[in-house]
Amino acid sequence: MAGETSSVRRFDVDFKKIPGTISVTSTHIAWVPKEPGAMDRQNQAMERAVNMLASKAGSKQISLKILFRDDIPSNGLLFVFSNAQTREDDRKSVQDILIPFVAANKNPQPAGGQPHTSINGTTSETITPSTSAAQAVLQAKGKRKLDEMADISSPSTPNNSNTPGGTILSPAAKAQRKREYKLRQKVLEKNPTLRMLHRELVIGKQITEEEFWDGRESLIQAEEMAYAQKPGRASRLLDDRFDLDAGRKGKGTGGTGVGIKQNDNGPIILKLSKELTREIFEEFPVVQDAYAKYVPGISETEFWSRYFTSQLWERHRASVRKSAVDESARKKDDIFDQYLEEPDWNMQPRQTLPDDVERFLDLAATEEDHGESITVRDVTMQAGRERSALPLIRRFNDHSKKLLRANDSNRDQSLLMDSPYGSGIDLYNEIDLADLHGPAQDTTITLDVQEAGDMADKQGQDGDGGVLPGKTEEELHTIASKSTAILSNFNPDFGAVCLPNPGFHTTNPDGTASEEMNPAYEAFAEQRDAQAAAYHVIKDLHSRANAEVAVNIPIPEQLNEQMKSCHNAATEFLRQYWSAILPSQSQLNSSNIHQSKENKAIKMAGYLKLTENKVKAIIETSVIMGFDPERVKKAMAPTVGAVQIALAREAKRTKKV
Amino acid sequence: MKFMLGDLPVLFPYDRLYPEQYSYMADLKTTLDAGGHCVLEMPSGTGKTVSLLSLIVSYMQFYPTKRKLIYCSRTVPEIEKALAELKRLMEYRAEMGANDGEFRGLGLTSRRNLCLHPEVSKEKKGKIVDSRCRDLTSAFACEKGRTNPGSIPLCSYHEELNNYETGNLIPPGIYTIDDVKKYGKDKGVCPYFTIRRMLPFLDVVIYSFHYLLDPKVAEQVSAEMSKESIVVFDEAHNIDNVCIESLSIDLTRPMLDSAARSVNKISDKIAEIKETDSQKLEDEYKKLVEGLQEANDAREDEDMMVSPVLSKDMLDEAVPGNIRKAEHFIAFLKRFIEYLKTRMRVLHVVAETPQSFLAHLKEITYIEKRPLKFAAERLTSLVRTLELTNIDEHYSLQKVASFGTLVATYEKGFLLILEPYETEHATVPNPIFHFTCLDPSLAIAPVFERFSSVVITSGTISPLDMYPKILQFRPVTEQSYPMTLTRNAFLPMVITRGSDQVPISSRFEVRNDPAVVRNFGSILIDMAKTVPDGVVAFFPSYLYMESIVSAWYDMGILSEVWKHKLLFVETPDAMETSIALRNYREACNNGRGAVMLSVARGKVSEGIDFDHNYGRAVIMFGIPYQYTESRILKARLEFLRDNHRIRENDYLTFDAMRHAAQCVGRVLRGKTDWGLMVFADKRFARQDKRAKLPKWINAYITEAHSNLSTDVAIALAKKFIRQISQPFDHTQTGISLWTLEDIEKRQLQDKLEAEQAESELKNSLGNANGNLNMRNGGNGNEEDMDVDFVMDDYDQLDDDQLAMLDIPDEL
Repeated sequence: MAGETSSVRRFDVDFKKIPGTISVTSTHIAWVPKEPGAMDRQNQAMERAVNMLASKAGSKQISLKILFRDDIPSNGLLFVFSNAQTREDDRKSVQDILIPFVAANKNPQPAGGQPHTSINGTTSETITPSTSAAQAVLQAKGKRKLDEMADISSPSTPNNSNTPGGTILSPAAKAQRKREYKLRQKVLEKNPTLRMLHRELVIGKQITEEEFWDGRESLIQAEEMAYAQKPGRASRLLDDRFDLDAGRKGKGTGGTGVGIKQNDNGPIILKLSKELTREIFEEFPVVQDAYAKYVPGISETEFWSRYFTSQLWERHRASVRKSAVDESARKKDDIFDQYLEEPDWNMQPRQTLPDDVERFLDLAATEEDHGESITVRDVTMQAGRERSALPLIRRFNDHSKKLLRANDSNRDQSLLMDSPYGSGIDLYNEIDLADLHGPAQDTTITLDVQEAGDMADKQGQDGDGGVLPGKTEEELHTIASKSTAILSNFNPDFGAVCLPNPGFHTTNPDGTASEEMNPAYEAFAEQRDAQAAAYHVIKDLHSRANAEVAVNIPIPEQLNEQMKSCHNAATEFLRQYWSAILPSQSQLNSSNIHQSKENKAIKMAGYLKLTENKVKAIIETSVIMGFDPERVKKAMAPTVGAVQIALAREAKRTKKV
Repeated sequence: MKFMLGDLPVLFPYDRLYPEQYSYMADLKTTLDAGGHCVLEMPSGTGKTVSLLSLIVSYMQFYPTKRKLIYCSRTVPEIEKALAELKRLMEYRAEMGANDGEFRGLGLTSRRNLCLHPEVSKEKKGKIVDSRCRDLTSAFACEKGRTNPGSIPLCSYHEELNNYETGNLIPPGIYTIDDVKKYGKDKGVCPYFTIRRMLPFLDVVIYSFHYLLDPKVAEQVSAEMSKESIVVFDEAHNIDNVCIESLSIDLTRPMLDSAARSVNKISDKIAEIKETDSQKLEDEYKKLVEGLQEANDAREDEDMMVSPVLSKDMLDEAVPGNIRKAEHFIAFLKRFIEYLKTRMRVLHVVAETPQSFLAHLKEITYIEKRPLKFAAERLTSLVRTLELTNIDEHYSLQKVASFGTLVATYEKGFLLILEPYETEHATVPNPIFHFTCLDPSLAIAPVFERFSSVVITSGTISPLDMYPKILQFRPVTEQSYPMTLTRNAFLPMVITRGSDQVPISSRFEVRNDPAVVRNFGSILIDMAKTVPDGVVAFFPSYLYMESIVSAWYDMGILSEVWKHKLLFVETPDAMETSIALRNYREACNNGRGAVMLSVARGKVSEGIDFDHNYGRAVIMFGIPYQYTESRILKARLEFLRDNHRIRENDYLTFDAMRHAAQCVGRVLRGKTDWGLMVFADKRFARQDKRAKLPKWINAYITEAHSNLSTDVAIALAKKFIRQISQPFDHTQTGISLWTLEDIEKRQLQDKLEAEQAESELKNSLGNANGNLNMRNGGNGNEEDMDVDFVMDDYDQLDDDQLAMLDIPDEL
């Protein structure tokens, strides 16, 4: 293809049902409509092409869909080859040109547009990206079954994802994509708000899928972890789960009868799953041993049926009660009987125990602390007298221990047998009374003050501290005694605060009311009016305050929806914008990423600019609907504010650049 | 913190102090000042040990009469914790600038727990370790080994000790058991003998009760302890049983057979020695004429073969002629063993006094009381003369000899009981000959006599007057401290019925009733469901636990429990149980949660703490009564009734309740810790039972919580857990937590009160005196205080009224 670098190849292609020409160069792919102005021109760099999907051979249309990185333009470009004679060859040629680019671009070597890929990072592809790319090329070329290509990258077209057959994606990458898609879907399912946002923005084609998920890796990661969590071992004892009596007695008994089916009177049928056999092997290594020795010789079914009727099985069952079949009635079995051994019911366990445990748990040390007791405890207090219970108890302990260890199987067993000479600190921990310690010292952060030393000095000079610096003891005493005197002599003078009503007229000495106005009344009236005014002010304040908390008429559903959607979109754009602007934690210096980030920021800023108009539109709608536009404005104010800040920032940024 | 208690400055290794700790220390100081014994009950988990140690160490270091501290505890874990507590205290004192100089504190335990010898330390049984150690370290072995290197294996750790100066075998400081072992390993010295030889030089020694109470060890270990020492029995609620155990002995058939074999072996050895080295036997004979004490002068390496009787009862006179010769003594032993064997053939229970036993013995075998008294020590002498090795083989013979000595020495307070069958329903005889001590005061009497201050303390020692009564001593101080709490940190509940209203009880008649078993089980299931992290359950006996565990399994109850928590059960083997405990703790720590099933009075119930997340709930299934069919117990009850007027039932309930409280108290450590305490038995609802619980628990059992059914109890538990999990400011001081200021405030208040009381007293006394004076002076101003005048009033009392006062209420 090197020879064709300079050359431009053109093919007749319809784009969105508008006839045009596609021109493919070594760097770009461009589409120009035949009728000028009928449609936007399309021009994309080859480097951004990540996938192409062809229609099936023999279908009516011979089309090729090219998907670009970051899903921009959304859902790629779908070209339909229109030249009736050469259209299949045309497509082939285009594909040939595109294949190397697609193959190279599709492999996620730079985490640029697809940061999420690092989450599941399957090693095979990350280690040898070049080879897998080459393989993909070979594969694609060799097969030439381009029509069978399947879309798997776009979650918005899930129907295509199941298309069988080869693809230019390597299987690992394919699986990876699939997994991721599933994860995303799960996250959305669990998170209704996010789903709404996703529907609005991605399906509403405001931003691409990748953009949407950018910065939400942690959600996917958490989901993946939850998804990857495997159920652990069932905690009940193994044999308890297929207790043969379970079916008969119903739920009352201990066994749940896992894997057991029983016809009314027929034989008991045990369904042995792989899990179950694995657990049996784990629990009873002797069975595994027997299995390894004999199973090629006898059939598996025979092996298991013999096991479940053998005495060994009877022993392995943890129950002390006899089952319906008496032990002696059980058949002799030459395979399993040789594994029979005395139950572990002696005082000393058969299992070898470590020599030492932490001293503060060491019960044996107490037993041997002083000469052996020379008296016998009474019958009820002799441990292990109930011999039949002892193997059972041992199995309980053992089982619990296994369950405990099951989670951290990679843990070194020897770690548990560590030496008793642990650090003394551990023992201190055992005896510590935490609440007797005083409150912990505040962890203060020292302020990094310039010339802190000087300041401290100045403070030192300013005064010698105390309640009132610069006063002598005596002065303080006088102040104190004065204050006390004032307090003790305090006499409320209500008259000074509120005048009494002296009556409108002055009273003459003879007792009749005189005509002239009482001067004292004047003062009183003044005060009264002032009081009334104050009262009104307070009342007003009060009612206004109440009005604030009063329940408003709910915003109409439709309007509310609009507001919400506008707000959600704006928030998402803001998030995208800021994440593009702010330095990311990793790969700070990658120019590639820098570029894509730059693009994104500009794009998001563009979206953000539209927000104000959207808000205005909503306000208008509210006016039309007869709803108080002020409230809408107020509700949207924080959103608008945040957008404005971002835009101001963007303006500054671009100016600088 | 540092605070003054009277004139004594006390260094306490925390910034805060619980009020009960303050009162505890104050009372301790009073006791030490007064020089007497005391009984103190302090709630579990309120830092008893640290209070005790910090007060006593402060006391020892402040007053010039350097008194030693002998601190006795029950179990090795507890000893180790006490040592760690002491170590931390001394570190704190050093930080605070106290000059403790050459202060040394060590803990003593058996060779088995301390041995470093590459081979001997592998032995699991203490008896065997002791015996093998003796072979490597005894005087004659050392003598031979040193004069002729290589002829006899010696222990290098023991030999290394000779390079150290007496009294300075280990640098000053506090060493936990593990520390000493580590030190021994580093220096190549024997930890056991380091401690043993340092005992007279130590300021603090911590060991188990037996080292002070059991004559078999006490004589060797504790004889040199100064009389001025302060003796502390911590966790002393079980001390009476230790006392009794240390003077009791049980013989079985296999033991007698083994003893007979030993006698034969020894007699062969005697014959052999006679031919090769007859001088030796003659020397021994001469020594024995002079008296046993000299022949057996205390030797540290022989402590596994000492007399089983208390030193004051030991005879300091010549050994009777008829057992002086080795062959004669062997024949004597043979006869004695044969006699015992014959006695064991009897197929009915025999209970007799030592006197009647001796009379019968004399009648049949002509063995007299006097030579029998010497049996144990004569055997020791013989073993030493013959330079026998592997003496653990002769363990049974030693026991038989001890049995003889004890029987011949003690008369009162002892009983011989022969039980041909282990249980009532057994058909195969398995006879046990019990020589049982009934009076715990015998073993502890020398301790009270010898030491001026003995402190008996525990979390559960109620009722307080019981111990002075059964141990026969007079305490200066008897005190029980309530628990001060700013919020109710534990919730005791008494469950008397299952959700189906069937009463639950561990009473013998109903304990195996399926309804009761199921109801017990459903308590466990519901608790496992409700309570986070660890749940501990205690059963009244091993027998019951073992049977109920299998029953529960078959009922599917344990499968239910497994859904919520892991399950661990105490087993007869101590190490196995320790491992289970460790796993249990791990499960509690990693959030899996676990249930531990164990037995009250069992291994786990003593010495293992289930604090914080290791025990958020403790369930007591049933009341841990002793096996009342036990003849020994019956004899003991009879003794208590006859000698101390303690009713059988009172004692049994007291005994059961102290163990129940002990189990339940394991869940608390500190006041931020919280836990549920479930008493599952209908009998707990009765006031007479609960009254015997320690005050600090009983005070928190409300009437409403004393008779619950399972479902209600679980609802309450849920509510409690929700409440207790709310954030709570634990740093607030004043109520259950004191700062230095609070202490000073309290002291000031006490002082004021004391002054007031004194002045009141003075006033009244002064008045009385004044009255007298006034009377004498004939100046009767204050007529109302005149004694005669007051008495005149009495004269005016109606005789009928007086008569009525005298009449008892019943009439």
